[in-house]
Amino acid sequence: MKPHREAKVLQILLALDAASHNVDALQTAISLASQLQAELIGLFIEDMDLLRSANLPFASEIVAESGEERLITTDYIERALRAWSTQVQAQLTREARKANIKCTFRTVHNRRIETLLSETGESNLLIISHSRHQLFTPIRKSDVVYLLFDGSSEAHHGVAIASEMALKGLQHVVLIDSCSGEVEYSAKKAADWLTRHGVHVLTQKLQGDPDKSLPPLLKKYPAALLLVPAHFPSQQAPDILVKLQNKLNCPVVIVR
Amino acid sequence: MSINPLEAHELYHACNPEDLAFATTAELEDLTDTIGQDRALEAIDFGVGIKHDGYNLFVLGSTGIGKHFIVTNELQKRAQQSPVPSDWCYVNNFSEYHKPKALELPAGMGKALRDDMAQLVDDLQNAIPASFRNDEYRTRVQEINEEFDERQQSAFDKLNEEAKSRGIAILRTPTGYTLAPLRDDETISPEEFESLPQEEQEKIELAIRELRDKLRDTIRQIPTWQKEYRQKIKQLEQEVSELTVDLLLKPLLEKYKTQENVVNYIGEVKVDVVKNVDEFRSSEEEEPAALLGIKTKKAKSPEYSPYHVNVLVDNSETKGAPVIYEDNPTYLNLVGRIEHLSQFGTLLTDFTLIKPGALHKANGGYLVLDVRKVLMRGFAWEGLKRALSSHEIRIESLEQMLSLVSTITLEPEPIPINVKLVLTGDRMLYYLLNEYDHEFARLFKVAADFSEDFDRSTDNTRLYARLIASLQRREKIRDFDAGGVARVIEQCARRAEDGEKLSLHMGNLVDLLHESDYWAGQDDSKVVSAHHVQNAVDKQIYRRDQIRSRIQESIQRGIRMIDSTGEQIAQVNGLTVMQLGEYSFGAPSRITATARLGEGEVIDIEREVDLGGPIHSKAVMILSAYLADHYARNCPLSLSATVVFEQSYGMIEGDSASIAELCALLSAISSVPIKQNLAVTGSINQLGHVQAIGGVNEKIEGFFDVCDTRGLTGEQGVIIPRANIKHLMLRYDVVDAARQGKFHIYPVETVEQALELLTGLAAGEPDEEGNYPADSLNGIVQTRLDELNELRLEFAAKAKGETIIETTS
Repeated sequence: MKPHREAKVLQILLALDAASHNVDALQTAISLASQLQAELIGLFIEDMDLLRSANLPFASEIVAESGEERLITTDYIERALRAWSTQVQAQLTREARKANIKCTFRTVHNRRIETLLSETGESNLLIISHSRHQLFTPIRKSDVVYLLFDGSSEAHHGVAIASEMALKGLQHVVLIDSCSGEVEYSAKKAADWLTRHGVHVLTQKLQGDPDKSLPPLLKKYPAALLLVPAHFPSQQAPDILVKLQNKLNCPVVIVR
Repeated sequence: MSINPLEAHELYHACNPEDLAFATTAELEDLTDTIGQDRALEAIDFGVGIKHDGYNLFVLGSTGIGKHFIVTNELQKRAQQSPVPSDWCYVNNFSEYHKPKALELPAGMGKALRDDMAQLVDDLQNAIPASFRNDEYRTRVQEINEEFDERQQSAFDKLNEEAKSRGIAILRTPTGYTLAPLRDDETISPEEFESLPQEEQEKIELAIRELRDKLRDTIRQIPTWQKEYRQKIKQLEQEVSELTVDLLLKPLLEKYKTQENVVNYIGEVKVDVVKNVDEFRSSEEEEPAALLGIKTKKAKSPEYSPYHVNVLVDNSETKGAPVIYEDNPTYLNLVGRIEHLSQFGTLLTDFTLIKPGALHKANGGYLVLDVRKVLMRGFAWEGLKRALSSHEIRIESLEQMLSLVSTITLEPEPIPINVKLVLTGDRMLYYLLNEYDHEFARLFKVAADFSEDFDRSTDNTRLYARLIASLQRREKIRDFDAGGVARVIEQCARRAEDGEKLSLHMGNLVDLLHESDYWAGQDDSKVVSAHHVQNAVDKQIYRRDQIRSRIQESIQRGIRMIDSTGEQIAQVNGLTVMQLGEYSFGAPSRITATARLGEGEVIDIEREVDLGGPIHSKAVMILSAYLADHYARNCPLSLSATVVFEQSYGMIEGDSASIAELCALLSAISSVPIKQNLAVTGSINQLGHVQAIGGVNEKIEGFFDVCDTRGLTGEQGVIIPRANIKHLMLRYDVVDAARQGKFHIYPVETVEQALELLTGLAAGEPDEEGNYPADSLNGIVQTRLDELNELRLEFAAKAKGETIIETTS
C-alpha cells in the first residue's frame, strides 16, 4: 500500500474543552480545513465529572490567576461552561469566516478524551488540544509536522496530509517510525515518497513506550502538530491520549 | 604788500603719463602687497600674533577703503601657516538627554566617527536580530523554557499523583481548578457522598482540604517562577547582546584608542545598546502612537538616532586656520541654534538639531564681522562679548536667555572657544564703543587704523599704477593706457583733497575704473584712455549735481543774491561746501555785517537762532577776540555788530568763513567797500593768521562757475589760505582760465593780506603806541572805533546828568 496521492479529508473535528489550551488547536484546525478544503466541526465537551463534582457540599474552585478560593455549584459551572463555549464559538466562527471555510458546532457531555473517537462519525481528522500549563511564550514559530507512521492505511493518509501541509505551509515533516514487524511499505519508503514530492523530511525511530518516548522527540523541533493514526490509541495504554495531552506542547491530530 | 595769484601749475598737481614708463597696464605686474597701510598692517600682524586674552582687533577706517578685503587677505596669509583646528561634534548624553555632550576630535575625525557610528548602528540592526535568531540562543532559551516548564509541570504532576493516591481528582474549570473524590475512576455524586460513612466523608474532606491548600500554594508560586524566568531570559539576552556589541565595537575602540573622550563615549553607547536591545530586535517598524484615532509616526529629525554623531564643525577640508566672515551676524548665526520640529502644535527637538554658528566655524581661527551689522542685530553684540569673556560658546535660545519661556529644551555642553575676532567699522563707531561700552576696551585691545591716503611720491605713484592694473584685471575690464592711468591717479589725488596725496579708498577707485571702462566701451575703444576717465568723472558729477545746478541757476536768476563785480560795504562773498552723500560741491554765499554803537558784542545771528553749530560760534568769538586785541587794547570796544550768512536757511557749521566774516565786519566798521569780484575762504585765529580749510577745490569751483556763467572779467578770483595750496586739484576749466589770466587764486597767510586784496587799501602796521596810519584800513577802523567810544561816553554822561568838558590838544 502506498501513501495516498492526495489527502481526502471531508470533515475535521475539533475537540474543545475547558481543560485544554485551545488556541493552538483552533489555529491548527482552521489552517488544516483551509488547506484541505474540509468542513470544520467544533465539538464542545462538557466534562460530566466536573458538573457532578460541583454539586458536592465542599465544592470550591481555586482560581488559576490568583490562587484565590471560591465556592462553586453546578449552576455556576454550567454558566461558566456556557460562557466559555460562547466565547470559543464566536472566535471559531470569526476565524472560519476569514478562512472561508464551513463551520458547525456540537456540544457533547463526555468524560474521557478517548471516547471522542466514537463521536468522529464521518470526520477524517480529530484534533485534540494539549493541556500543559504553558505560561511561557514559545520563542520559535512552530513549523514542523510530526507524523507517527506505523504502516497502516491511516498512517498513509497521514503522509498525504503531512505532504499537503508541508507544501502549502512551508513546513517540515518529521516522520516517526513506529513500524513493527514486516510492513509492506516502510517508513523509509514513505519518507522517500515525501522527498520526491518536494517535502523536507527527517526520520526518527520511536523506541519504547510512546507516552515516554514521543514527548522528547517532539521537543527537538518546534512542533506544529502530531499526526497519529486513528487506531493508535486503541493499541496503547487506555489513557495514552490523556498522557500525550499532558506532556505535549502541540495538538494531536487523529487521522482516519 | 602785494599778493601774486598762483600759477596754473600750482592749481593742479598733474601726473605726467610719460613718467609712468609703460604704454598700457598690460605691461604691469599685479600688486600683491597692500600699499599705504603700513600702520594698519603692523597692527594686524601684532593683533594676530599675540596670544593673550583681549587682543582682538578692531579695524577702523571709512567705508569703501577696502578694510574687509585687505584684512581678510592678510588673515588668510597667516591662517595658512596655522595648524588646522579640531572638529567638534555633539553626541547624545545617555544619562541626561537634554544635555548633549560635546566631543573634540582631530580635524577630519568628526566625519569619520559619524560615518563609523552610522555603520555601527546598521551593523547592530543586522547582527543583534541575527544573534537572537541563531540556534545557540534559541537552544538556551528553550532550555530555560523547559526548566521552568518542567518545574511547573512536575509541581502539578506531583500534586496530581498525591491526589490520585488519596482518591482525589484535580479537575479543570474554565477559570481554574477544583478537587473531587474519585470512586472507580469516576467522581462521586453528591448522593453517593452522602451515603458514605461519616468517617469516610471526613477523610475525603480532609484530603480535599489539604490538597486544596497545596494546590493554592503551587499556584501562588507561579508568579515567582515567572519573575525568575524573566530574569534568566533577560540575563541571557544581556550576555548575547554584549557579546555581539563587543565584537562590533572592538574595531572602533581600536581605531579611536588615542581619543579618550571617544573611547568613553563608545563605552556609554555599549551600555545603552545593551539596555535597549529590544529596539534592535524589533523587525517591524515601531507602532505609531494614535492621537484622536489618527495614527502618525513620531516626529524625529531625519537623522535622529541616539547613536548619531552631529558633526558641528568639520575641518577635514580646511587648510590652516579658518577665516570666517559672517555677513548676517544675528545672535543665532553667531552662537548657533537649536532647531525644532513641529508635531501637532508642540515643538520637539534633539541633539541632531543643534546647528553651528559662526563662532563654532571660526574656532581655532579668525572671525571677521562688520561691527555696524552686529550692533544693529538684537543681542548679537552682547552674545559676542559673552562668548569672548567666558571663553566658551554656550548655545542658548533667546527665549531662554530672556526667561520668556520655561519649557524644557536642550542645554548643550558649552564648547571652549579660541578665536581671534576682527571687527571692521568706521572710526566713529570705534570711539563711541570705547567711550560708552566698558567691556569694549578690555576685549578689543588692538586697533588697526586704516589710512585714507598716502604720499604721492614717485615710487608710490608707480605702485599705484600697478594697483590700478591689478584691480583692472581682477574686475576683468579693459587695459588702461598711460594717459588713463595718469588721469585716474589725478582723480584719486582730488579724492584725497590733496595734490600731494593719493586716496586709498578702493571702493571709489574700482567704481572709477568700472565707469571709465564703460565709456571706453561706448567709444568702441580697446583701451581706456584719459578722456574716458574724464568722461566718467564728468558723468558721475552730472548724475549727482542737480542740487548744485539749481543753486547756480538761482544765483544766475538773481534769486540768490551774489555779486561778482563792483564793490559793497559790509558785504563779502563767502564760500561754503555742501555734502550730499558721496558728492560735495561749493557755492558762494553772501556774508554781511552791521556795526553800531554798543558794548562790545559781536552777535552771530546764526547762533542766536540755533542755526549755527558750535565750531561756527567759536569762530565768531575768535574774530571778536581779534577785534578787541587789535583795536581795543586800551579802551573798551564800544561796538555792537552782527554777522550773518544771507539767504541761508539751514545749519551752518565750521570756521572756514571766519576770515570772510571778519572782512565784512571791518568793512562795516570802516565803511570801506569790499570788492565783489573776489570770494574769500579761510579760518582765522585770534592773532589774525589764516588757517587751512577743507573743500578748497569745491569752493573755488563754486565761485568760478558763477563768474564763468556770467562771463569772466579777468578780475575775478578767490582768496584762499596759503596752507591750502598743496590741496589744489582744480578742474581743467578753472586751471585753463587761470592760465589765461581770466581767473585768479590768491594765497594769503594773514587777515591783512586778505583785506588788502579785498579793499585795495593797505592794512597798516601799528606804531609803538599801537596806532595805525590814518589812511590805512586799520587806521580807518581804529578811528571809527574811537568815535564810537566817545559817543558811548557822551551817552553815558548824559544818562548821569554830567557834562563833558571838551579837551583840546
